[in-house]
Amino acid sequence: MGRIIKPAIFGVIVLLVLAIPALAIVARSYILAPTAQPAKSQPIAFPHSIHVNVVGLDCTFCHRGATTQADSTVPALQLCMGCHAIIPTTDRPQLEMLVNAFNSGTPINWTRVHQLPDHVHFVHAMHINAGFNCATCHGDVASMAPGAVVQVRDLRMGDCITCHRENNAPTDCSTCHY
Amino acid sequence: MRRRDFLKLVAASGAGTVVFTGCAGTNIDFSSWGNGNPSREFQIQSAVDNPQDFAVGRDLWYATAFSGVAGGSGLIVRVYEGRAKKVDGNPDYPLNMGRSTALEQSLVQELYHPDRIGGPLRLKGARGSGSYEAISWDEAQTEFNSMITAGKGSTLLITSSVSGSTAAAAGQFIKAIGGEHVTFEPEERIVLREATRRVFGSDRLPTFDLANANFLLNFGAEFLNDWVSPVHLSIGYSAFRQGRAGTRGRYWHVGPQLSATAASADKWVPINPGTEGLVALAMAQVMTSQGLVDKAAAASVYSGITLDDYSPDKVAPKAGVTVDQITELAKTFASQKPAVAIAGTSAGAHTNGLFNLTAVYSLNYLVGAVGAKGGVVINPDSPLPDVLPNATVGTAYRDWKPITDKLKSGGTKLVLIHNANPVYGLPPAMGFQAALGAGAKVVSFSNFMDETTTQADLILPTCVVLEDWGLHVPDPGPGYQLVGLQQPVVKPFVDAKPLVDLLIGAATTAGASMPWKTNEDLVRATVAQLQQAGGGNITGTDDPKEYFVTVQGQGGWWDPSTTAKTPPTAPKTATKAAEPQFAGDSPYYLLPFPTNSLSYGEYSNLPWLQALPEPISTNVWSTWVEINPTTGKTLKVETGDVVKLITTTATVELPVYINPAAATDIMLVPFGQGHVIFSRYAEKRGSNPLSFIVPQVESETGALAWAATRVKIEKANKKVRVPRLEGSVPAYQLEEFPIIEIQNTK
Amino acid sequence: MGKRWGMTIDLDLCTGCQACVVSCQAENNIPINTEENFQQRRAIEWIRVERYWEGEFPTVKARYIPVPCMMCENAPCEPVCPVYATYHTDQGLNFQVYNRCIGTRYCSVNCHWHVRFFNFWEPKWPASLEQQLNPLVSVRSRGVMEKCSFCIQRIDHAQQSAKLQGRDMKDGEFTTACAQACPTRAIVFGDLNDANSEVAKTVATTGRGYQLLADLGTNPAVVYLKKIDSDPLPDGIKHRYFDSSQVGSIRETVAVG
Repeated sequence: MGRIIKPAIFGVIVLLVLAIPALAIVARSYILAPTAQPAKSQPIAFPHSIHVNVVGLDCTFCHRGATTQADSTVPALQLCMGCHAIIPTTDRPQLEMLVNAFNSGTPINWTRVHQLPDHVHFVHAMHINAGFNCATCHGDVASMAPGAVVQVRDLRMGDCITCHRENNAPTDCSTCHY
Repeated sequence: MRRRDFLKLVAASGAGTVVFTGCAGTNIDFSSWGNGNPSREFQIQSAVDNPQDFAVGRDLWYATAFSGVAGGSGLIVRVYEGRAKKVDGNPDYPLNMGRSTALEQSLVQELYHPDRIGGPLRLKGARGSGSYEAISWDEAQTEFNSMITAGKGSTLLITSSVSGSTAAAAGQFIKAIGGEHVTFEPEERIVLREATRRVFGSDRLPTFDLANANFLLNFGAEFLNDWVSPVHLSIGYSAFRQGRAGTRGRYWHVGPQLSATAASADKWVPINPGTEGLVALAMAQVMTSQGLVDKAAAASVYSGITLDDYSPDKVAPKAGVTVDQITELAKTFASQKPAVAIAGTSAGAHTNGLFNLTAVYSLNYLVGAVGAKGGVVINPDSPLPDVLPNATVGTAYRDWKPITDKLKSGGTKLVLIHNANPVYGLPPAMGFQAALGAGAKVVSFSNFMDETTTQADLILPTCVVLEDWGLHVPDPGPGYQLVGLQQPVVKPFVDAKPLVDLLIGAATTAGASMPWKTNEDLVRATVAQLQQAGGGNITGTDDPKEYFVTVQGQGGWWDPSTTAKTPPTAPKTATKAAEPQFAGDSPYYLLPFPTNSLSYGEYSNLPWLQALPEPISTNVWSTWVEINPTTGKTLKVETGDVVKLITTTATVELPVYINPAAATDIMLVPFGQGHVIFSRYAEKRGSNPLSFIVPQVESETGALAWAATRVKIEKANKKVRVPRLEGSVPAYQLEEFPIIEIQNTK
Repeated sequence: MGKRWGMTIDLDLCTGCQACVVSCQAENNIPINTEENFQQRRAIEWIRVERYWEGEFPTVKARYIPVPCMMCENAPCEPVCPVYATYHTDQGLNFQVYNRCIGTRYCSVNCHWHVRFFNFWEPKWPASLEQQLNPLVSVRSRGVMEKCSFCIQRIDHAQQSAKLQGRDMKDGEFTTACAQACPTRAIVFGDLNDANSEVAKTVATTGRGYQLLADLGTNPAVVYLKKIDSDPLPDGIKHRYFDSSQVGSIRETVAVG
């Protein structure tokens, strides 16, 4: 019994140490995955559902850069006020916040949901040009709760490469990393 | 800083810029920005407004113009969400055709410089203490107005050479307030202007049709680096060399230094400093006596000079050349037509500088190069000389004496300074700094604390190039009328105002009624006048708005059909010949030189320029003295040894750089450093040659002859490592493995 | 045929003005080279202008040569990267992937032209100068190798624009920062495989073309055009190796780092 205590303890320690990277890898795909994160809070609970399903707006009505630029861009409050200047805000605290922000000249800092690292240069326009629609990567945003947009697709490099391979898009490093 | 951060940051103001208010002192507080502000790391911003010319997520290009240290260029600036990212040449602008210099590329660093003065400052304490307090523009304006009122009739406005709208505004201002406007410009350019005025009868600097020339003879002008109009002349040089099938121009350089420009020459003829004029006369003597040129023409341009007194055998020993060399110069110049001769930089910075330049430029008449293809191109006048004046001419060193005296005696009550640093740029012997302290009120419009700014009572920062409006009349132009439009490509990055706005405001305070309220008004009104006057390459519109937008889009106004019509007139009497005089008693000449990156030190505060290797020595960030290897052995110094340079003015210690191309009796020292204060990048670094030359004047113009000093050398028994790009050993190529392969055409 | 990006650099036109150096630094977020960086011989200049001497006063010449990355077809720097952070793109570029680099620096050892630069220190800019940084180019952190990329961001941007507009790229539609600034047009950039491009025509017709260190067999994409000299120095003066007696003491010659 005494003979195996030391090697046994050693073995346990080795297993514990090896478990760290193993757990990290598992965590990366489950707990730490971007898609597993809860919805982050937003300064205004913007309801995509109303604007898409009820008003019938296309994504690019607000996110105008998507078809021509790298960034899809979030609109300036001036765009919102195009309609919201005449929509009554009584008993609508979210709208009040919007109108107050515009009138006081305060920009709105949204919490970023989809954020790629700085060494990735993703170009929206090329993907729209290839025929994909926004939901392919961003999911059914219209069905997300107000102020609770979440990332529903992995969007890490493995995801990008898989899709690029399936669609004969360039997998050259210089396409995105420069 | 992460990309996301500054994208967010920029969207913050809604119009793409962040205006800082209440900046403390000379430092700008950035801690509220994205970088270093963790709460903004993972956010994206909706701006409030979406102005038409603010595109999110992509770049826009705006055309503007830069009047520069030399002739200037048209620029295009890439602006990304309200931030200027890259300055390039404007491909449409006739002077530089899309090309640019290292200085122009560095202009973004002036805009975003960390040591830029953030807002108006008022002196708090003794003059020169450098202790200032930040005040609001309202307070500053009130104080400025009271100074204007007190200074009426005795105001001194000091600027760099200005033209076009700025010159018009400055002129109106001086008329309103009463006083004097002096221009601070590199001294050798003052001599150049007088020389070309005498020789070609034109107040405008000429340009040169290098593209069609076969032989270029250059007496010292740094035309490829920072003399007069380097991009324009480089474009010409490019065509001169490789622009014509089967023809390649030949370039010979005559001068005391194998400078950055001279390195491009096919042949360098070293001469003693200041003997350019003598060599030119000797050449003329050879050409006339051998019947290579028309004797009458020579007698006419050199009237009053007996050319035979300057035959090669008499001139050669004075110039340090051989008779054969002079003869070869003369014969080649006369036979390889079209030939053109130019001179400048140190050639003009001697006691006989004017003679040097006039003698060389007159050579062009002998080979029929004046106003002809491949030769000297006379520039026409400004299209509207009253509202768009030509460039103001610098005040010569000698003429600064009465100005300084008037300051000392209290005759000048108010000094206003913009884009000039006379405390640094005038030798200490002038006593300008002390004169400033004699009682006049001093207002600086500078954006940086420099030697002159720290003498000010009130500092009112003005917009830099990329933030302001203006119409420039480049000097020299491209051979026809050209007006460059400078427009703001970004909003002011700090709390600065356009200079002209301040001048207009001041003139109004002084009781004048100015035709415009702001600089922008002035520019728009002047462009409308240009449209009314007709001409120009913008056709097809009568609408003034559309016309202005077209001028904005192309970066200016020009008319290639307006070449100078008056034929150039040769001088009636030639400038008197003279030999160069030198102060001091020593076998060694002290020859300062403007560098490719720093020129005379106007933009030493820009780190990219400090870090740019000087082309010949590849040294950076410092001042050094270049010594010939044989002389070095005699003095027992090597690269890195520190020596004392002793003139009758001062003694300085500088590290040695052994330069295989330095003449044995010339000590070369670059301009540009030696700032006591001028941002973290330039202060307390190196030495300013102007502080230890013996100030002599050019005999006729009174310009500073900064190349007229002799210097003694002593070892200082110290060693430093000179920071540079070249390795530890001088770079010679292995014969077996050349890096630069040469094709000899002989 | 696929593209092969290349350059011609005409040494008869280069005047050593170094506008290309500053243009590249502005375009590519290159850290500011301090005095110390130069002392340590660690200054980063993706394109640099070298000056070589010939002779000594009074029979002396100085010559300039701009040196960017050669974009060698058989690049010696590529096979030695343990993590494949530098590789050859299908458009003929030798490309450095910053986020993959682990800082072995073997690639820079192998580069005979010394055009690879390592970030020994974290690049820092004063906060206001960060406003100038180009958003299209990643800022490299400490431990990452970098080098001239032939302005890949401009190449990619032009290709994307062309694709979005449904057309082919034209020669001269875009160019590298260095070529754009050069006042004498000494540097010309283009597709060597496109027979109609300016660079291809120059390479095909010039009698002056050569590659730097061509005998190493790496086939660079940068073709230099020989400097022409109409007045060479007399025959006794040659390109010569340095005279070691000119070299200073041992302290001066020891290179740091």
